[in-house]
Amino acid sequence: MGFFGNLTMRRYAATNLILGAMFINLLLFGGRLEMGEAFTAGLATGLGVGWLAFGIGGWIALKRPGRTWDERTATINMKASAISFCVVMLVTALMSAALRSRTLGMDWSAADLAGMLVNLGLASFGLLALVIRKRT
Amino acid sequence: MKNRIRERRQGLGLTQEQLAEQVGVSRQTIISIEGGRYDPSLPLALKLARLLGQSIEDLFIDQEE
Repeated sequence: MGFFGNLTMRRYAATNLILGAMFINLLLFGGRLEMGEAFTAGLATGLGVGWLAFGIGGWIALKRPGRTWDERTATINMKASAISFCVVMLVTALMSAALRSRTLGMDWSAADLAGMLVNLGLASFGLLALVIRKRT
Repeated sequence: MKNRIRERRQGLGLTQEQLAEQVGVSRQTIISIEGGRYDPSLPLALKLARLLGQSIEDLFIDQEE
């Protein structure tokens, strides 16, 4: 059930290996993509924190199966994901119109828009999960 | 959905932590179910009913009736 529901030691190790490889690759070769120092550092930090969160969360789930990730947590995350998806879709639709408007004159690059949508998705998911958790 | 889980659990002398442990969920989930804020899935409801020695119909109160 859910992300950690079917976690085994083999899957835990394989996922850690993939995340670790991505993180190390980004550190080694991220600079060559010339995305900007700050962006590369931010991306590496995000990936590193994600890896750490998976490492700790997965380890706890393995030690206490069925407790850290139960059906209520899965329901909360599912609801938060669904609403967050709708929020991102709505904002994407609004922005696709707004960015074409000459009156508004928004001079956004594709990178700006993509970054804003990713941040919006993450922030709305986190906030919604918190609110739904309090109410459920 | 209202239910009689708290009174049945207390009648059997179980703590929320012990009940959670036995059905394989977190204590927070038991708190939410007892408070009527979260409706468990059918497999979890069956586990609870079996553990508390009652039928699902006796454990959960259908408010539409």
